[in-house]
Amino acid sequence: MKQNNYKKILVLHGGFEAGDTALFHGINLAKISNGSVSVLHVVNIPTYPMSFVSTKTEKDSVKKQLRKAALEMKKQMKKEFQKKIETYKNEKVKISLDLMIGPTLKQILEYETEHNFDLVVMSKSKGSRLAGDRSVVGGLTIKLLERLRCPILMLDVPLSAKSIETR
Amino acid sequence: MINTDAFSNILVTYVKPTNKQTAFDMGLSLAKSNNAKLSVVEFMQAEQPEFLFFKSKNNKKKENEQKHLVEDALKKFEEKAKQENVDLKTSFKSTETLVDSIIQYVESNKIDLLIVDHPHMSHSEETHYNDVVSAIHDEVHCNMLTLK
Repeated sequence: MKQNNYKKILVLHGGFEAGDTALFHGINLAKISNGSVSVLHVVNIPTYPMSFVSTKTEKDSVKKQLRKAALEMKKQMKKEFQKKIETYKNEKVKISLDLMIGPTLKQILEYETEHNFDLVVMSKSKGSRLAGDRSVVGGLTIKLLERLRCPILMLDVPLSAKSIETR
Repeated sequence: MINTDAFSNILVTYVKPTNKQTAFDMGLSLAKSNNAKLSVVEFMQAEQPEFLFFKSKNNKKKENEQKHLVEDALKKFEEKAKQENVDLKTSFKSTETLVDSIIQYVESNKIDLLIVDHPHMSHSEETHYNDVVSAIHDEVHCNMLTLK
């Protein structure tokens, strides 16, 4: 029988509870296949306030502040993810963590191409948006489904989208 | 300790009637490692009859040929699953709307992992299957493994 050959698994964690489920399943699959897990979180810098800013100096100042906030967020998230990964230390699965700043789609696609993963694990969360109890597949997810060149395990998580920090 | 019985009811189905082996092998492997039940369902999309509402002899002949091919493939899967001691249920259904049929099957059989292949061929076919797979992702209420 052809075995599950998912040796290099990428877990996309958005910092929400749904991401924890993705991490759990990613580690579970890596354990079965004696593989390794890479956890990736991308801190996105919003660009929307730019249209309200008129002068170049103001724009630069806002950009600088956003960049600073993103760096701070990255630092905080790293601590949170390290705690999370620590809880799986007895599972004897190699887990690495990467945090990036930038446009989420671009960073994920580049990271996936660079590391040549066998499987991407991510999750969608029920009730995370204004759609009742229906799971919502956002634009980013659809683009990832279309553009990632490796198999994708999309987990359907019946949880509200709470970020790590709010728990 | 991680619970390895993460998936207990796995369904393998196809959006394009080619390259069936990869999805089945993956389903079999996951079913074995998770001690799960495995189902393989082939949904054949009904073609528009030659005379709009009435099927011609040619239509019926073509349909029968396809049905036999699918049944042969499913029999082979059953034999393979038996060798691996995996509980496999196979079925063949004709449908007009693939996405709805898959979603209905998932809901009525309490499937917790759906495995589908995502074929990449010509640009137009790729666009079509991207839409089908996206629609399944959007509507289905279970975990989904999209193979490429």
